[in-house]
Amino acid sequence: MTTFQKHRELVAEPMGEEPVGILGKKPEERGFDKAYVVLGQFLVLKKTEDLFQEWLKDTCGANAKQSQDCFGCLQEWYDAFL
Amino acid sequence: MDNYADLSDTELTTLLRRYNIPHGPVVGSTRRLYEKKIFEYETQRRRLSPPSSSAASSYSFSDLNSTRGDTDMYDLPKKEDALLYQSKGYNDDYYEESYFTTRTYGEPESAGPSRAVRQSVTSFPDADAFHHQVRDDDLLSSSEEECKDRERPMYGRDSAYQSITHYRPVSASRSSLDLSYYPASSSTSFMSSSSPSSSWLTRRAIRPENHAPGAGLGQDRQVPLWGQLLLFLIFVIVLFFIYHFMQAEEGNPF
Repeated sequence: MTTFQKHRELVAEPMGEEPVGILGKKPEERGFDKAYVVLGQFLVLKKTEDLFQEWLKDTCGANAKQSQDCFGCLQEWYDAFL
Repeated sequence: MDNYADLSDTELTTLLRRYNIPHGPVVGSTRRLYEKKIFEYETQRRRLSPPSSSAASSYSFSDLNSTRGDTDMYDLPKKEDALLYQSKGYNDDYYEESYFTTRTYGEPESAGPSRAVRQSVTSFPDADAFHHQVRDDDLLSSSEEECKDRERPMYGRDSAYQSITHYRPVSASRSSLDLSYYPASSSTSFMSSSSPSSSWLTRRAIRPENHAPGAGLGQDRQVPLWGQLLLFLIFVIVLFFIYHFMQAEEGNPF
């Protein structure tokens, strides 16, 4: 499944108890086992793109594109549901 | 980086606020990120003492370059190779600010290499010593022109730097009257050493900017040289191709 499809799917509905998914194992080991925990981090960082992307890089070893996708996804989800 | 572990969350927040780093609350999951940000910012600031106009852009560069920048600062004067030194400084755009202080050596180098080497070796490790050197330099070179007119040389030197120097004389003339105005407007590095009088204060701020046009011109002179070489190379290649095709045309009919 491509990131894009995942993105669409995630954004289409409230995330509930969805696992982190996109970024896989790494964040789970760090205690970010559910997407909403990552969303919480996203909110705690005040939806600041640089900070969130840098955090994602540090914790998950995400590359620039991944972190950008993740940020965009969360941002969109936030706009739709919060 | 570990010494930030001692700071409480509120202290960390105050630091972030002071450095103008965009931030949210400092909590368990964000703490490391902010510690890293502060560490980067402080290493960056120690290195180039920015005017802190663009904090957001300056601190983000540091993670790749901070260590290399430090070694550059201390290694290069030992090599005593002014050309390498200059070109290295200008190759990297991010270090334009950090070499701001070192540009002041541009004029002494042209005057006498031995003196320049002495200056750079003796004064580089210590910012205070550096300022004293600059002061000595001032005394030697331009104390008489300073007496005549403080503003004239500023405007005369280089029009490209008008925008920077333009506002300096105003601050200089004003700060000689009003000392308290000056510390607020000056960049932090030049305030680090103690100064005997207000005129030294103003002049120290002016001098590096005065020197900067000289170094800038030096760079301008260098670029056309490279350009000329490149053009010459292209010209040679074109000639070669013309020659080659002429040869081919002659060869083909038979």
